[in-house]
This record gives sequence, C-alpha cells and structure tokens, in this order.
Amino acid sequence: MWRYFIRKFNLLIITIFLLSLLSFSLLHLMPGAPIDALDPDSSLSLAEKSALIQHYALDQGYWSQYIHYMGNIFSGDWGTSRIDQIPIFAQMINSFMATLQLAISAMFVAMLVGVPLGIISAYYHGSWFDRGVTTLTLIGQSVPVFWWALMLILIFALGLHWLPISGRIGLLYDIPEVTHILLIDIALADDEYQRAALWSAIRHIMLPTLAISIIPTTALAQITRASLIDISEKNYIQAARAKGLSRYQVLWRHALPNYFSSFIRHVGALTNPLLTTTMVVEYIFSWPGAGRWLIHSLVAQDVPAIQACMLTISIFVICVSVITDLLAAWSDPQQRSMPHG
Amino acid sequence: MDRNTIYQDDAVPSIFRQVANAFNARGAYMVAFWTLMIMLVIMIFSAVLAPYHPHHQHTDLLLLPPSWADKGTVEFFFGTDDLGRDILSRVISGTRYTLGGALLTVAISGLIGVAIGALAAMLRGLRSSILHHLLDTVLAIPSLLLAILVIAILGRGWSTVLLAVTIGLIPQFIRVSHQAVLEVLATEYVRMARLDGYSKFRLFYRVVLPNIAEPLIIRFTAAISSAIMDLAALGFLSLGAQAPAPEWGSMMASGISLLTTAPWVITLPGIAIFITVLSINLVGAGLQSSFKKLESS
Repeated sequence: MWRYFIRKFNLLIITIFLLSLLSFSLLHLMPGAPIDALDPDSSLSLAEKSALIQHYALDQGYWSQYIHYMGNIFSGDWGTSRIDQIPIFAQMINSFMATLQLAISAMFVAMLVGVPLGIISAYYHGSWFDRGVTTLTLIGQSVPVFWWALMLILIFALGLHWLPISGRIGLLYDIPEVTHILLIDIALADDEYQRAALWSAIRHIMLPTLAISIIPTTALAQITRASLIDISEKNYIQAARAKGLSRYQVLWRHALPNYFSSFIRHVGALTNPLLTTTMVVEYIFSWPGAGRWLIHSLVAQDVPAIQACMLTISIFVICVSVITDLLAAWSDPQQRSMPHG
Repeated sequence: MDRNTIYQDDAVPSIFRQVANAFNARGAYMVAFWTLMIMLVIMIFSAVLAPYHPHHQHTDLLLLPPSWADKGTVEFFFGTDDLGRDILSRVISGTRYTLGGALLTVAISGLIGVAIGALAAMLRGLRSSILHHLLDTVLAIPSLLLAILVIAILGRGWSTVLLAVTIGLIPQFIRVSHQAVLEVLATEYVRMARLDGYSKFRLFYRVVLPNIAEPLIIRFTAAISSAIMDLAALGFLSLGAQAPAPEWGSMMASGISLLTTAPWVITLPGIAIFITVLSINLVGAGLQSSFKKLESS
C-alpha cells in the first residue's frame, strides 16, 4: 500500500506541476506579447502597465517568470480581475465553492437514485424493470444537458411556478459567508429568518441539481448494473450460491462488497463529466459558480481569471481522481499491482 | 435442396457477418442504425433537401408555430424563428455542422490518438510513464474547459471549436488504444507471430490491429456522441459556430429569450440532437452486445 501511495503521490505532484506550467503558459500562448493579453483594449496607463509587469515579472526570463507566478499563487496573490477589479483569489474561492455545492448535491442525488436503480435492475436481470432501467439510462445519456435544463425551467419554473429560475437564494436574505457553501453558512448563521432562508436556498438549488444529476445518475445506474452482472458470473458468487445462500444474501454479503472498489473508481472518473455539466448548467441558471465566471471571463478576455479557473478546476479533478484511486486500492489490494490503473 | 458442396460441414460465417447477425437480432438496434443512415443521407444532401435557404428571412412570417399547432402551416413544417427563418431547413442544414463536425473531429482525433497510443505501446523506446503523465494532465482538464482554453488562445469561431473538440478527444483514444495494444501484445498468438519472424510493422498490421478493433469501434461510437454534445454545448454557450450558422446548439442559444413565447425554437433542435445521440448510443450498445455474443459463442 505504501508503494502504491508513493507512486500515486508522485504522479499527483508531476501532474500538478504540468498543470501549473500550462496555466502559466496561457499568458504566453495568447496572440501578441503577454502584456497585450493582459490589456487587450490598451486602456491602461503607463503606470498601471508597469505595475502589471512588476506583478507578473514580465521583464525577466521564462522560467523566472514561472517561479514568480508560482510564488504569487502560493502567497494567495492571484492578481486582480480586469473587468470588476476584485482580487481573483477571493472570487475564485467564492465561485468554486458554489460550483462544488452544486456538483456535490448532484452527485448525492446520483448516488441516492442511480446506485439503487442499478442494484435492483441487476438483481432482477432480464425483467421488465431491468429493461426499463436500461432504456432510461440510454435515454438519459443522450439528452443534451442544456436542453434538459431549459425544459425543466419551462415546466417547473415558467409553467407550474413551483421553483425559481436563477440565483442561489432569494434576494431578501443576507447570509454572512463563512465557509462559502451556502447551506452550511445558513446553518451557522444565527438569524430569525434562518428557516425561511434555508427553504429559499433549497428551492433555488433544486432545479440545477435536477438538471445536472441526469448525467451521473444514469451513468452510475448503468455502471452498477453492468458491474454487478459481471460479478455475478464470477466463481466465488457461484460458490456462495452453491453453499446455499439466498440470492439476497449473496448480493449483500458477496457481490456488493466486491463492487465497492470499482464503484469508488467510477465515481472518481465521473468528476470530469460532472464538472463539465455543472459549468453549462451554471450558465443557464445564472448560478454564481466557477463555470459561469469562466465563460464570462472568456468573453471579456480576462486572462488571469481564466488561468485561475483552469488551475483550480483541473487540480480539483486530479486530486479527486488520486483520492478515489487510493480508496479503491485500499479496499481491493489486487488493484495496487496494476501497472497503470 | 441441391448442395454444391459434397461435404457436410457447416460454413462458418465471417466475423463481420456474425456481428451483423447478432446486431440484426434486436429491433431497437436496427431502428437506430437506419435512423443514423437516414441522418447521414440528410447530411450529405442537406443543400437539396432543405425546402428554403437556412439564412433566408421570411419577414412577413415571424415566429410561425409548427404545422401541428393551430396557427401553423404546412409550408413551414417546423415553424419559423424570430427572424422568419424556416426551422426545418435550419435543422436539416444543421446536420452538416453538428453531425458532420462531430464525424470530422472524431476521424481526425481517432487517427492521431490511435497512432500515438499504438506507437507508444509497440515501441518500448518511448517511455510509457512519460506518456501517462502527460495523458493524466490532459485528462484532468474537463473537455469543456480544454475547449475553452483553446478558444481563449485562438479566438471564437467554428474552426477553433472543431480544433478544440479534436484536441479534447485525442487523450481518450490514446489511452484506449495503448491499453488494448498492450493487452494483445501479451497474448500467445502474438508470441507465435514473433517467432514466425513478423516484422514490427507487419505484426501490428496483421495481428494486433484486427484484435484491437473491438474496443476501438466502441470508443469511436462513444466519441461521436460526446463530440456532438460538446459541439452543441459550445454552440449553446455562443462560443462555437457564429450567429447565422444553423448549428443546433447555437440555434437553441438564440431561442432562449423566446422560451415562453415560442418554445419550439428551442425544443426542435434539442430533439434533433437527442435523436442523433440516442441512435448513436444505441448502435454503440448494439455493437458492444454483438461483440459480447461473439465472444461467448
């Protein structure tokens, strides 16, 4: 296990180094000189320009610029946004936490709905329920997320007036930001309207969660079903059945524990599509998250913000993938010896 | 019945035939397959099939509902959008952008990805750990984010988006082909072929390539559907095909403000994407189950 841990940790460090290099190089990959990329409208005064050159150490060589950039990253000085002149680091934490809240609640729904669906359809393999779930997962995988989100808005917000369309919480509530995850902040806030605020926040998160969760839910149902059917053909399951255990006992005692490690692995692999989906859905629901911020900064050519988003999101993805790999290896020693898994 | 052969042996159908037979057995897969074929025909002949020019604005017929609604007419089967453009013509012409673009990007990225993956696996000289570290780095970036980075560097536009999606698809192809080649190289029949004195190129071409066809085909179908989704999503975020182009995603983006008054402007291109992706996924699932049947028989 230690060998595996060190190998994965090594991989993590190298990957983060490459990602930071890519994020840093973005400034140089832009057409024109780096200073033009930071100031596409040439609207800055000479003093502001020299401040920027100072901040990014643009008058030095490539590698010393990189070291300077990393120093800035670690000291929490991520530059200021070109558009609204606010520090990027604070904005990044704010919006990334909003994204995380949305992504985690979607993943939660997916685990709550998708995994049981997969288990039941594998248990009754070949029944009408199984066929129904297979059809549903195929349909769910083929629906364009943005279209699905708009249809949800059309039905639940505009048609039935059940749920609000956009934002995170009603405008009336003023919640002090401590953890930047709204639901926790509300729980911490000592307010007479706490309950109402919580209800408002939950109503706001429902539609985007529903919109995003279609992808991980169907994926998890499909994967769970396929893996359990694969496992049920293994010899140890046959042996357990021959021993006289009921199908139900076999499922709980033998099949599901063996499914756990590949489940963890698949959850890790789902992070990437989950974040992609979240970014699109945020844009539709005006959810103040990293995806929406990224698209706005792209339109406004705000390079430092794009760099920050790219670095944060991709490092998050690689960290989740390494953690899930470690968890999977911890629960299933066979996977530790795989050359690259 | 007359038989030309005097031997009693059963003819073993070719592998292609067996897969086709297994595929034929399920009705849904065949429906999906023919839907896809019809889509391809529509894509190729879209210029002839579209009743109107996709950019032509019928200024006196703005926001005409589809023909099945009360106020619709048969001349504009899917209705018109806010500029009076016929939606049916735009959906038909859109196949060129969305489906055609997806096929193009998958073809290019598949060629590059499989070449790199197979080369890395065949030639041990290129250290595979270096490749894997690079791959992990690229795979850590969500495909949409990668596309956004390319767009940030090269500017918005259809050709940039095609390039971005192509780059985003390559790592998956490298990974799948690399793993598949390594698995095949470990088998007995490859050792036999090596003992027979096959050169590396012949070994790859004659022995390895036919045996990695299955995972590659499945990866290709999955890649086409994800390419369609990515292209449409980028179009929807108005980062892709620019305004008048009838790309399905950007058609939907222009319809957002009409969501309450004219929902068909958004719904119909969405259904077009849905049907295309669903039939591709179904064909993929069908191929997968046919391959499985072939293995177990």
